[in-house]
Amino acid sequence: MTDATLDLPDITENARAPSLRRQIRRGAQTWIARHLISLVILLALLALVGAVHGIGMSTFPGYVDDPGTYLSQAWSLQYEHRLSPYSYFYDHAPAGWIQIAAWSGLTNGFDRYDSAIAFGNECMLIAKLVSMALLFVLGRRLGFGRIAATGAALLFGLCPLELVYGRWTFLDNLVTPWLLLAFVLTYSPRRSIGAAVGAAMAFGMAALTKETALVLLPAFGWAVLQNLDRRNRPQVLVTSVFAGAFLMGLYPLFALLKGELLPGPGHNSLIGTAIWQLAGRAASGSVLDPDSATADQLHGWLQYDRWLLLLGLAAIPVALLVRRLRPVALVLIIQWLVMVRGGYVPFMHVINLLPWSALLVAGAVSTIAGNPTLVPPGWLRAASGAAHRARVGVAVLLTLGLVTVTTVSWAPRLRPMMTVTQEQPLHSATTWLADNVPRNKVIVVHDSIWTDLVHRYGFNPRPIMIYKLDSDPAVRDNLGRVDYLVVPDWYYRTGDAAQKYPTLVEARKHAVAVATFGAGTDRVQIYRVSDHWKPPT
Amino acid sequence: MTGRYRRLVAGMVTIAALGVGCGRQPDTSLHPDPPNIRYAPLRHPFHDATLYVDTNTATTRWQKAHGADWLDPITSRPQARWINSPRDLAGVPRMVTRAKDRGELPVFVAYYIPNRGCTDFKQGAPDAAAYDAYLRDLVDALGAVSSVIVLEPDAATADCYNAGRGKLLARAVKALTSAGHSVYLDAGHSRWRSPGEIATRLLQSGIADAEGFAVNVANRQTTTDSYRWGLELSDLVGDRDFIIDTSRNGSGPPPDDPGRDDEWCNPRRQALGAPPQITHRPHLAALLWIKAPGESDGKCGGEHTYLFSPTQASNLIAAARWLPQAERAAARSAS
Repeated sequence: MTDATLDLPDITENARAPSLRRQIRRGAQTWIARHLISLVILLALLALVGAVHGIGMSTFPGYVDDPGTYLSQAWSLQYEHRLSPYSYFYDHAPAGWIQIAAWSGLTNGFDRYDSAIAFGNECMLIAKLVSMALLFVLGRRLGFGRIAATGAALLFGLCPLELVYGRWTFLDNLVTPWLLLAFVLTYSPRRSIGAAVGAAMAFGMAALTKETALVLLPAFGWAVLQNLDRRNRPQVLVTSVFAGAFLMGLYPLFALLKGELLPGPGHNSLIGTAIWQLAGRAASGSVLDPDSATADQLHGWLQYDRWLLLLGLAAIPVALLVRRLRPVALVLIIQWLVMVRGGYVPFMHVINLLPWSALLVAGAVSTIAGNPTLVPPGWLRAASGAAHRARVGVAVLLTLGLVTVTTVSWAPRLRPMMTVTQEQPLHSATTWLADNVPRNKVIVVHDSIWTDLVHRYGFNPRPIMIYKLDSDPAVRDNLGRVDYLVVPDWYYRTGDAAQKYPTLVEARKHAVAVATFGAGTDRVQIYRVSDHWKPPT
Repeated sequence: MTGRYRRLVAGMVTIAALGVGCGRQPDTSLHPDPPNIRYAPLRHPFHDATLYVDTNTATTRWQKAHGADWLDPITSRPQARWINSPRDLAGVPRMVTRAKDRGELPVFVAYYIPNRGCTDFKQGAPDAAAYDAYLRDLVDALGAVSSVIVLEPDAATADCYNAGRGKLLARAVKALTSAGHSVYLDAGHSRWRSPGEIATRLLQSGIADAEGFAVNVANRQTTTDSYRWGLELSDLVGDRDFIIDTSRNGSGPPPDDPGRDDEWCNPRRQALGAPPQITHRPHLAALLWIKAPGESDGKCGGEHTYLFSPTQASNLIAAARWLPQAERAAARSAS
């Protein structure tokens, strides 16, 4: 009897509160049912863009300067627990290569490929797919229909210009997903404190990945203010500002604890390098000046694709008409203004323009079509039949034009990017070094192969990265000898090579090419320096 | 078929297995460098050789004509014979025969490359075909006696050097070495081009087949500087040997004063360098007098000729501190 009476409440309780597992399962089922169509679209998008981005990424584009640096720093973090194999000088906030190191730590990244650059390519593929998915979600949250959100994702995912710069291991490619996540959470329909805190922390991560993301604070702040709810406004503001500031404050705190916050003799400093980055670097000029380096860069970008950048610019005025699109439009406006300002603009800056251009182009077409979730009723949204039909007709024509233009222009550009078969000259050079050079030789190398020579081939003493050879006092002071030079020809051909790389240029006068890979300025010659030459002290 | 044999095979199998086991590690041995160049084995022509003393030079002829005994410090020592054009080939067979009879090693300078002075083909062979013919005749004239050839002073160093000249030089090296002679390609001197630049040119010019290179020909850089520079270069071109011209470097290089062009051309302060000798320093085969001491550099420094000048000769002898005081005084009083 007692047993039976004891059992009963248990059964009723079970019926009222299902087990956690069942709760989760049911929640997932309803979530999937609600988002099924979007999920199917997203999976298809991921497969398509993943294939286009991934096929051929090891052979195109050629190696450039920065990726090897970030990967060597990620390697150093994973294997030596330091932020850089050389003394860290606050060139960039470290979260970017901390993420790369984390992924490598989880998946043994540096052992899975025969080159660090190839592992970096994998990281960039992941970043690209995450960015594209977030772009789709952000479009939906802004009020895009599925077609427009898909359009934004495809414009971003398949643009040849984005493919080139998205494949290179640049910090900006890791900033993009965090920024998009910050906006996605800001536009969370629930407007919860959790979402706001998450948004602020995502923005903090973007800034810690590359400090240049901070210029977007006005746009992000505007988006936050636009999405405040009267019921939890003070709580959201206080907690999110605190969370974001706390996360970003870790960086100066780290510098402070190391005694490297303020400039001083004999050590690197965060403020000192920041001053150099902002004011000390040679300005590349305003994009409005046709003779400036920035204008040259823009020209270089447009050679890969002119449509997305220029259509993005054209979409800004339309987007500004729509309240929900204004903060996003401001993002793109700020990124363009950076190029007008006349300061130093790195050549990978285009990465920051492309996702927002894609979003605004899709948003502008949606606006013209009069999408009701995006455009509020009023003069923007024609109610009457004829005007409405006319606008939809224009939007359809625009979409068709966009599809045609991008297909015709992009397909022939994407094909060679996916089918290049020539091995990267620096990679061939690495193999040659491994086969022909004793491990105790001192090699001056391009940063893209440094990690491979250290990690995979065990060169000891470690090779010297070319940009450290004449810039790092610790390297210069301990330079007893140099046996090999392995850098692309463009280092010798720049006009100011003798000023920028005096030791490299001098060493080459006492060296002979023993192997050559590739052609043009990408050509890599391996120089063996005479045993009888010593670097001047 | 003994146990010992079997043990040997077993040992070799073990070594091979170890090799396979280590095969995962990259090969760390240094391959020939550059790997695509195969260097001919060195002949060491100066090894145990006696240098040939040329008795038929402009200096000896002038000495005989003027009874100038004070020229002995120059005329009694070995010098190279320059073949500046096909006309100079006529005297070669007699010299080679005499050298062979005396068991001495003759040194020749081939100096007839097309566009020799980089002055629009006014000097040297009129074209490549003429140069090839000159080389054929030179090989014929040298006959079966193995000689040392200093190949084309300034040709690889000059501003007008190009890949075509490199090929021509490489052909010359091949023609002379396959006839049994030892070739030293001229490499300029320590204050002209960098060892790296010259190494690249010498590799194009067939240094792999040559015995080595010549340093300081007709120049006045010190032997110490020339040796240091030559060692660096040797390391870059497969450890080839080299020779240094010490004919006029006893006082070192004259000051490089752009306002006074006579400093490089018949400078007042100059001296005979170390006497010609076979050396035993690493990679340095010999110190030679390649440029004829006493020959004028041209119409400068008070001279009006490219030929022998007693003034230049007496300056060289008088300033040579390694010579006996009497010989120097005789030269000084002769001028």
